Amino acid sequence: MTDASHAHLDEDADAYALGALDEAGMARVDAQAAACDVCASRLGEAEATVARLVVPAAPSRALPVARTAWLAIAAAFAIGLLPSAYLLSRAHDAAATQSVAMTALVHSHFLHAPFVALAPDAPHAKAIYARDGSWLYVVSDAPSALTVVAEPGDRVLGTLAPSASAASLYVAIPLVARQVVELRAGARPLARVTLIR
Amino acid sequence: MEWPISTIESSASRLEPAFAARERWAFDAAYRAYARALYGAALGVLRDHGRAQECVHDVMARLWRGPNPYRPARGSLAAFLTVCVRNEALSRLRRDRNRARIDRSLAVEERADEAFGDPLERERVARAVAALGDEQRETILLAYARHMTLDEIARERALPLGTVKSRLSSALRALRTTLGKDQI
Repeated sequence: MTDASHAHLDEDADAYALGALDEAGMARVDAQAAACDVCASRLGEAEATVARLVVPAAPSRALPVARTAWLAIAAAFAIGLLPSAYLLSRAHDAAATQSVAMTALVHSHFLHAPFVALAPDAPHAKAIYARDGSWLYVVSDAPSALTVVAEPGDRVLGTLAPSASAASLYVAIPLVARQVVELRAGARPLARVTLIR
Repeated sequence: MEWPISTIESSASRLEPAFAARERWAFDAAYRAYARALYGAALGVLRDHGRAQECVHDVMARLWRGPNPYRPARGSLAAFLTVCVRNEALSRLRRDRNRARIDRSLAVEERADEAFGDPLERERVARAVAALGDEQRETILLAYARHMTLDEIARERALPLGTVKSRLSSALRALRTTLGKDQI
């Protein structure tokens, strides 16, 4: 574990992992972590925390073949690298959303409320939303894509996108004071929540 | 096809020493297993699909050719690679003279409404960030979301460098404690 000794990496490890050091500072941390197990482990801890802040890109678009240094190297060694399935049609949007959501979350406190079932097959779902009503995040264990609709006005906000363990939708839109949001399968309402601020 | 998470986890203990020893299969497997996280890390900073791809590939190529500072004492290979790619992306962003253009494009993208990441993990992270003290939260926001260095934060907030550094460090430590506790 970490050691309080000033000889070992401490705060610099956190700054390194967050990308807040200049290049000379990074090189110093790298050298120290290469020479000392305690420092390497302290740095690894900081890296593991920062890695959890990073949102993975969505796996859907094929990698444009060749043209990149890494693929060229792989091809040269004929190791049969074909990472195409890992990349990424909506990656760009997802990453843009990541930063926006992160900023929103860091700036504001948020509230959350569970959806109430309207049908026997309603999924468990929850709305997380900004106290100032500037964004809404819906999380559900629904296996299939459901539509998220704002009432009144029957305004479709989007579709829950399934991922490994749940489906979600983030929208940066103004919410009204007592915003009603429904989850629907087609036109059929499954669950509803009223967002009170 | 995506690898099942369990496969990635069970192979990490084999993968990590092999990656440190620069074995070819380990680079291949690491790339396959962590590509999404790595692209996410690069894209979050560079906001450009092509530049993000290039950044990931260049980092993998650089580590393959050496020097490769990863060793098992450092812990998670996935975390190491993620930070490595993100730091490279930040270096590229900072070298880009035309930073204003990038900041503007960020503003335009605020209408983005696609889903992202694992929502439960997002919620855990959001809670942990919300639970930080105001000074910690502001400092980590400037570093993580606005991509500022310690020096830049110190200048913008008119604070001593040491203060910025310890706020950043205590913020990350607090996140580590909360997230560690919440881990499934």
